[in-house]
Amino acid sequence: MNIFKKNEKRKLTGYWLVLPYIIFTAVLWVYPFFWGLVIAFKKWNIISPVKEFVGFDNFLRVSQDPLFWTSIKNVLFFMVAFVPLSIIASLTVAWMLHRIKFLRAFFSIGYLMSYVSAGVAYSIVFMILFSGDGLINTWLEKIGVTIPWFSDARIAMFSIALIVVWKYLGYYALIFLAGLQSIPKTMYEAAEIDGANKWTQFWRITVPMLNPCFTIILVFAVMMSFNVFTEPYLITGGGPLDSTQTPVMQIYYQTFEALHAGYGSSFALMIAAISFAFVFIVRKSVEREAA
Amino acid sequence: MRNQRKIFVAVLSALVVANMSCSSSNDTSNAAKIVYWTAPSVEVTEFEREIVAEWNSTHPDIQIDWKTIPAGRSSEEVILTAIATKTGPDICSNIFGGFAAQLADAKVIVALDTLPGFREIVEKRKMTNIINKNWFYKGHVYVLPVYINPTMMWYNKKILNELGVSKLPKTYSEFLKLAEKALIPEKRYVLLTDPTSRWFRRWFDYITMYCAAAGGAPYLDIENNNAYFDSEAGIAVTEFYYQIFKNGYASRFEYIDGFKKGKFLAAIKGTGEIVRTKKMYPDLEYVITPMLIPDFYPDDQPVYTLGESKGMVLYSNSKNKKQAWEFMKWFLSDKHDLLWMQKTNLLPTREDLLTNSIFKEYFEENPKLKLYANMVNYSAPLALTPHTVEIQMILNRELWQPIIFGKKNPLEAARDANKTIEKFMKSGP
Repeated sequence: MNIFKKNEKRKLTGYWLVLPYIIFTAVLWVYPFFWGLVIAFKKWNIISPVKEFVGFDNFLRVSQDPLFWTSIKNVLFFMVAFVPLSIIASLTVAWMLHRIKFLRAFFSIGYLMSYVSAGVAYSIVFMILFSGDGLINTWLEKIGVTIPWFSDARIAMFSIALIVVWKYLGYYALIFLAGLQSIPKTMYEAAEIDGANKWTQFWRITVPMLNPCFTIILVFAVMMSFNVFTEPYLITGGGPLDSTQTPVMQIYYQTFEALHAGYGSSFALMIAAISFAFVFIVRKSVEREAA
Repeated sequence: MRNQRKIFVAVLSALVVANMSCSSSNDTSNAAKIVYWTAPSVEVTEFEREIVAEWNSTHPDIQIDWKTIPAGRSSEEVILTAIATKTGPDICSNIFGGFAAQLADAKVIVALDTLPGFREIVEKRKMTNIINKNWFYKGHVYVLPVYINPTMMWYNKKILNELGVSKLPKTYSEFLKLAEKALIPEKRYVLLTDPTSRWFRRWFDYITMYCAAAGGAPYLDIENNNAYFDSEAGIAVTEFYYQIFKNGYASRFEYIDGFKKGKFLAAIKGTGEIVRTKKMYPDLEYVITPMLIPDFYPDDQPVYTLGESKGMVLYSNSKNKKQAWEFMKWFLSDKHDLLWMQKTNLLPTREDLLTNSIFKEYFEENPKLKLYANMVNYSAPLALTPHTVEIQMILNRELWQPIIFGKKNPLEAARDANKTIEKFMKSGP
């Protein structure tokens, strides 16, 4: 009886502990999601109380909107640049942090600073750095090169990806660092005795042991790619030639600038479905069950 | 004991002071509170601080709770979000006609012409013609215009002297001839032009040039759903910008303060830039001229420009509409207009700027601003459409960006933009 009561009490404590998160999720996730679902079937301009039911009309229009497909194409291009760059850079940083003993915490926090920086602030800094007469081009001019970072349709999205890599570098590196620290040293020692060189050790031990980290970072990176907004919104406004138009920019534009909240909501739901499909594929193809 | 007495005296004094401040605040505790939002600009903030302090000290029964529009890329987005979340103000300044039309359609702002004393204030401030011509939307006036910001050409004097230019260009061909002379590839450009897709930037390049080329004629006919971007004027402006980008006279990069840093010979600027240039680049010398016109433009016609104009609106959900309206009427006075001009260098929206003696001395001391004041009567208004954002996004997509990157020829771009905008205007969003 006592054990039963004790268990009940522990359960209750558990519920109390997760209650703030449940409230947070309910208010800031569940409610907006269902509200978004409701207005996706309506024509509504946000500020008027009138909401006209239009059935699947919004979804149909989104699927016929060339900017919907352009934004998806841009996300794929962004992903191609962002995913490998961010993984290589963050793994390198994590490996360096793993190797050093002195001031490791200082450097770890230092790399995390970019992650917690305000998007608007660093976007403006990068806009100035990469502008025609910015610091980067001033240096490049010395070797006779000027790169139109944000004004050439072929590389503008790549430039945006570079900035986002900088932002997430520290965060992803910390995930990898935790993974590296959890690999038992004995595995490397045994491999060395067996004659495996560093390269073999990396591919045969480090990479497989970091599979959960790769999986979570890939999932984050794919989700992030569909959500990229602040940087292109502030720096390029979607140009040149719509090469940096992203789904969230379109959702924002449709909802808050053109006041087509229903259309914006259906756009968001379709993007969410595609994003979910990508995440599912990534997990299925990368995640390995722990032995 | 002495210490205890000191502490007692100090506490007592503090209580007396606190009580006094409470009683003084009691004077305004029953006052109507008006939330008032203004543009988040340094110069406007300096002006509003003085104005609001003056009002609050002389109107204990109506207190203004003044804030600059919270940070965001554009005032419109922030205001819309505030309205949607019911956290908006009673009065908001810095509203352009197109946005006011959106708000009017959603019935969230008050038709000011229905309020007592509207005609009197319009006549007193000498803006009857301006209101009648530019500010009626569906039979009502929703904005009390505060300022007008005509655009003109600026030329860097140092570069002009270096080139030995004494006669400034008036027409496109004269400008292109000068451009050939002024260009130093990759080092110095000719015309500072915004290559980005930000919709509101088109007011300050393509549309302002259009207004000059068309002799002040409107670029949209809202009633009949017509656009004029493929007119003779529209095609001429498109061709001009096509040449500018094709020949590298404008940069496809975005330069921060490119004109002010001497990277460009010329730029299109509004009056507000004068005060900012004086503060940030005090040594920069420049010459101001009217907008460029196409070669076919008649010699005997005055040169027009675009006058971006913004003003105040009163929100329908305000609980103190009467008091808010009192403040709005008080706001527009000769004295305040002079202070506004001194602080912001933006021109008050009134027809007597050059004839009213109160402004005379200021214009004599500021001849550059007088050049802009001369343009007020030749400033075409912004099109009063609730679909400004969408229309200018189409303009970006069909005309501006393809011209910059040479993806369409000028005729094709002008026709595509016109066709798509008219289709949008006719069928709606």
